[in-house]
Amino acid sequence: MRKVIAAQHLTLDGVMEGTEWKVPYLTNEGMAIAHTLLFESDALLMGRVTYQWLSQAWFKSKDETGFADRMNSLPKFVASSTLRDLEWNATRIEGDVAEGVAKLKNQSGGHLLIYGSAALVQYLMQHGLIDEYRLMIYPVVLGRGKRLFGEGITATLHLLDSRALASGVVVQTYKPAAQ
Amino acid sequence: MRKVIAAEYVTLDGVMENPAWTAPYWSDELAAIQSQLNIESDALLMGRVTYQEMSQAWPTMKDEDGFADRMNTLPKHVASSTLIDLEWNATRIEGDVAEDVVKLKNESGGHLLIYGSGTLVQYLMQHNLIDEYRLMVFPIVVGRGKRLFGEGIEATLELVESQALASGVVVQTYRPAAQ
Repeated sequence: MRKVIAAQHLTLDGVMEGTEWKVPYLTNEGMAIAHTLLFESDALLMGRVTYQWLSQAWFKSKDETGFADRMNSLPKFVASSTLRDLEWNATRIEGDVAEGVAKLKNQSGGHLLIYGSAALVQYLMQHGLIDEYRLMIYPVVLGRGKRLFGEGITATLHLLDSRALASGVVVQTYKPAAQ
Repeated sequence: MRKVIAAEYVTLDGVMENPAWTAPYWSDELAAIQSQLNIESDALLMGRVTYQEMSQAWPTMKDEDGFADRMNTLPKHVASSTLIDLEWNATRIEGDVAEDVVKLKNESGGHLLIYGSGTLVQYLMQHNLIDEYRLMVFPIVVGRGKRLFGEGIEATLELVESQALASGVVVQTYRPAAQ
């Protein structure tokens, strides 16, 4: 069964929105971690906002590690009730999203990777469909912006791994605690 | 110059309030870390709510390690505009709290340790008077309650150390980044 992994860049106060605060901390060490995860995955799941953002940001990109090529070529499954005519090798998840994701999980293959997509992550959390959280915690407190774990979102987790990077970013891997 | 250290129990979503959620993750490992920090300190700074809760809870406690005795005998400096007649070896900080904390920092001695006291911590952050954050991050998302880093609170920090405990709690030590 494939794993659904939510890979998130967060400030110390849990904000996921924005990009400028990440820039000073983007190092080869962090990018190698992201690279490994992307290459263990063979599809991306995302919500509308992240799809709109990433499909614009990535399609022109190129890099020697092959990261951009993989971002552009992987199939994407987008949870959106409003978008039509998706580009960037993306298809809309038809019907019930939880059922659609459960079907994808039952297929064999690599991970189903989620970047951003707070609403989708929260929805999948409520349906018990997130298998792992890969959180990159930056040493910044932003004080505003959308948080991954918003009001009313609850979970009991189990720490799988914790690793501090030289940049001061801490990479924490959690899975849902056994019920 | 003495250091002001904020030692905080927080959930993964940054909530500090009513830390009954710490109970399942309590371990000798965590107790030793708290004990060490407490021994290196010779006074507590706190806000009203934390003072009221702790001054009720601690006087009846006893333990073989002497932690409760220390909690009860350490001098406490309480930032409150409303409390009078403090017990528990506590005195009210008179006048401007920032000025007074600077005076305390300029004295020689051990650390000035803050437990809880979200409002006081945020106030001292805004006055650049927190020297270190010892965040004990529990593997739980609670979805409601007062967060340590509330709306509008900003900081750029530097990771000093990150330690994962067997219980799944991650102890993260930060200090303000060099300006």
